Amino acid sequence: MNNIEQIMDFLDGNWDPETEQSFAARFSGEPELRSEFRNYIMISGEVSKNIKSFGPPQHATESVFDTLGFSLMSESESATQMPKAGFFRSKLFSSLMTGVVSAIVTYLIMLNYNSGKIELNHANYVNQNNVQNSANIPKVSSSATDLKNQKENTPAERPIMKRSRTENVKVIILHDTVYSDKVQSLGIQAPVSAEIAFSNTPAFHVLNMGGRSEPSNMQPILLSNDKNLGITFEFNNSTNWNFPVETITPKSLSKFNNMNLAILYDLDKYFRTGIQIDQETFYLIYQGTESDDITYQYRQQPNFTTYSILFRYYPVEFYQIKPFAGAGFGINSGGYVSRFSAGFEYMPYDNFSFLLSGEYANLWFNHQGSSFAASKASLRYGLSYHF
Amino acid sequence: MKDLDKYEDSRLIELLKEKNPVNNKAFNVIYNRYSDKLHAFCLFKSPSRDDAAELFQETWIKFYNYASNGNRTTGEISLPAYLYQIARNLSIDKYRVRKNKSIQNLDELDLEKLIDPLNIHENYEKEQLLSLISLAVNNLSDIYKEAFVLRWFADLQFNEIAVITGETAECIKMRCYRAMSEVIKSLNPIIKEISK
Repeated sequence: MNNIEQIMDFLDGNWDPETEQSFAARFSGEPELRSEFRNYIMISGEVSKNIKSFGPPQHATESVFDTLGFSLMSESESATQMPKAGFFRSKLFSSLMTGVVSAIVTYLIMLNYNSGKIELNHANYVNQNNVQNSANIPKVSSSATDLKNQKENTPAERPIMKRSRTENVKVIILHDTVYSDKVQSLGIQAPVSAEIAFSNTPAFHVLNMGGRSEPSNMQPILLSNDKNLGITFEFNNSTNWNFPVETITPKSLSKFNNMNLAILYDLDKYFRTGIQIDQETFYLIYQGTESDDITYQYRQQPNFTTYSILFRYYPVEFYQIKPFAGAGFGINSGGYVSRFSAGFEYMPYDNFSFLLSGEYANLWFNHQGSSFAASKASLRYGLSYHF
Repeated sequence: MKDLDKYEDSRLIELLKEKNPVNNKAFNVIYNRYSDKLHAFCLFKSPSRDDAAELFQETWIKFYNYASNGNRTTGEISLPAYLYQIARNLSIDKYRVRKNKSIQNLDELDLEKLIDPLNIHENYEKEQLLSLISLAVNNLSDIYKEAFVLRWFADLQFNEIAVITGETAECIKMRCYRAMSEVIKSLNPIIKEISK
């Protein structure tokens, strides 16, 4: 029996204690045995330690799973799997929610925009009355008929939107300057009306310097500083504490984790409502029975995109600080979320605020017909801009 | 799937007969458990890496088809031994006519340098040791190479290797001794250099 054979038998534990002792005793006197023992350990250890470097290439693994119709799972995948939630975890749900949010935002903007147009048209109407009453109606062919018709109508019957050259005349008046291209050619000077002076804003002036002959009711929203839209955009980040404290961490987190974006609309001086989109995680603990009839306890911390409706109450304002309390209700691919918050806005500028608030959120979800809940507390900090 | 990791092979094989997702999870666990070693075996049994990948895939597919149909799979040997047996039989069918040795499936090392003692002064890095071991093993004759791979790469017992190869355990034991002795003899000068 050579040395290697003996070393293998020794390491495999095939000998009785006496034989092992006599083999061990040979170590001190036989350098060759020691050397071969070291070599054996080095080679077998190197192979055993690095067996993963002989692992299959990715394409071979994918090919095996594709052929068998299986999905390849990582060993830690269950830590990021979400409970089954059917429709709520589908891409269709996500797309629908995006559409709904977009539609509501558009509606809110357009609602405010239209109300602004009505006021401005009313101003035009007043001006037209003045022009008519003064009997100094410019004799411009295309608008003369319109003005004649207007004369016969009561003010309430007149259309709100009216594009006519008469309105061009009003634009000239707004700058407190009498232009000659449309009026003086007829030898008539339109009177300057003090009643529409409120519309003579720098923004409007800039707009008309571009050569546009838009009617006065096309005042752009974002350039306006005399009309508050009552819309607030908010961006927050947060630090969170799960209840109970999590014992696992997600395999991967969204790039926008713990951030949220909200659009709020002023219902009145004290109340705001709006929509909030949160990228967040909840620590879920729930039980379920698999097909093998074994009940498992799952612990997961999935990434969620939560869409919420918010209500906020601002009771007072003092020294540029507006405390608030809020509540919200939302949904995500896991279930339903309730939110309760309290905090304050600090407004160093007219439209710009810093926010600091605390929030308590609860997620209710179902798994195999049983209801479970997860909760967390958050410290939120962010910025807002009020339009 | 985390919990299935604790299951023994025999239980996982039973779960392969179940419907998705249970069989999917069970297969994932088995695959993660043995794919590295099986692919190592396929590398030594194939003339190229592509051939090894093909043999590897066919082995898993054949294994699953047997197991999911409820056929008795492992019998008196372990699940990994059964996998190697499938791979071995497939390789025999595929490469029956191939007799010449090939080292192209291993890292491109010069065998002449390996056996030339003068080249030990080139100061091989320790991370190259595994490649040198692979090369030395691949240079063994087929029966010794197979014994070495199944014993030290696949970590099987002599009696399991004996079932796979159809030899006696004593015969396999002897082949393993000789294979390891040859490998150590080939690498001895390099190991000495690394040990310094």
